Amino acid sequence: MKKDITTVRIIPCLDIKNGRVVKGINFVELKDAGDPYEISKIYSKEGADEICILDISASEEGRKASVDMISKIAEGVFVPITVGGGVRSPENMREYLKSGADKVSINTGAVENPSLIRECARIFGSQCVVVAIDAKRVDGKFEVFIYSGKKRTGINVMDWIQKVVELGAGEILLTSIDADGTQQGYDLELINLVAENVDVPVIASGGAGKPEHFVEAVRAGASAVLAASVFHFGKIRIKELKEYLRKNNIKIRT
Amino acid sequence: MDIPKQKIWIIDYEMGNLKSVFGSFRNFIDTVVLSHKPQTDADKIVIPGVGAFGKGIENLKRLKLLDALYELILERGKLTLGICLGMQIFFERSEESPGVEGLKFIRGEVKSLRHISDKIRIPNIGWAKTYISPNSLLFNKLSSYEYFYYIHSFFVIPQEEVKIGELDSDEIKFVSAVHKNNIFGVQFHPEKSGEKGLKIIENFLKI
Repeated sequence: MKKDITTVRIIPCLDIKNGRVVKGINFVELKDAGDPYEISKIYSKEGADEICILDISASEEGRKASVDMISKIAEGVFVPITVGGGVRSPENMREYLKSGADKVSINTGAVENPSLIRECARIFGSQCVVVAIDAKRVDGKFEVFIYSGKKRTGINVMDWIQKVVELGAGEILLTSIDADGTQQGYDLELINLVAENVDVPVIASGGAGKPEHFVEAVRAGASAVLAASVFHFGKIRIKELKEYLRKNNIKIRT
Repeated sequence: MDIPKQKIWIIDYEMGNLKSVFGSFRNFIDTVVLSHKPQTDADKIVIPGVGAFGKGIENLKRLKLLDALYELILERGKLTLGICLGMQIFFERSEESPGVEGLKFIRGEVKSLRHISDKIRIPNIGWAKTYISPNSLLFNKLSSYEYFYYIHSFFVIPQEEVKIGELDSDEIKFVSAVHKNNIFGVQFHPEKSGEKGLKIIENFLKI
């Protein structure tokens, strides 16, 4: 398996809609639990290595409000930002990049039109094209799902990762639909399979519940670990998590 | 020491995320201009950018910026900071875009990280331990080792003594910060590297 020359990244993920955080965030120090800017500032101060923002706005105006919010975060929070949500064209991607995203993730849009990956990589560079893959076990194999995990594609995850890397994906954001929301740990088999078979970094997502889970995901081959609710509800604080990883001999940024 | 009054021109040549670079300078001073129009009255110049070497040079040409850069940086000696691709284009050429000439401010070339090792993940994305020269004004009040954020697949190989910093992981090392006369360059992103990165921006404003 290829090795990273960087430290493991801890990435909190915010779901936003119309520029506001979807589920309230439960920190004592937060004045406004729905303000993505304030939350991002706190995460960055706590040592988050990157912040992931998923925009689930359904309307044009909602999306515009989210884009404005991303601009505000990009100008005032000095850690990398990855943005995703409804990217179907290079124009969608350009909009997020212009607002200050460092990387943009494509999910359903890439499955429905794989050449979108190549086009975006050609225009903006592979390093900012993240392909998000939602994987679910079906009959003992990992299958790609789209539309937030609601729709089967019949595509095998192992075939899909080869293809997206060939097309120019610079990173893979890998979510296990089976593990997501369970807080029972990442799907280590899935992470290991993908990390063994690609040269680009793999971000593991779905299932984090305890600090041990992060260690397991890294040992399985993840270059970065993403989580949402355990951070938002203060169950795990990023600062303490990093200390825990360090004690487990995992290279982290101090 | 306070930050002296000055005007910063961040060159917008349509190569990637410039908002954060702008934001990081605005964090310290108001007189920051992000534009593709030459700001001849600027005191200092910042060339950011992510993306391909060839496309970067092509855009500079299309926006008719090459002459302005030679005049302001080489002839008039304005203090300049290149970030990521903005540093790579200071060199003579890049393996990424064969046949394309760089700005040639610094002797040397740009090559794929694959040449260093076939065992590492590429692109190199994340925070890496970096040695920085304590003697450089750009790194004033920072430790000799700091973590900075990188996102790239190519690295510079200078053919002259310009190194002021290098990525230093257990696996590999390569030059990631350079200084020659009035020109500084960094492969990592100070505007994305938290407080330590902002310190570099502040130092640049104080030089």
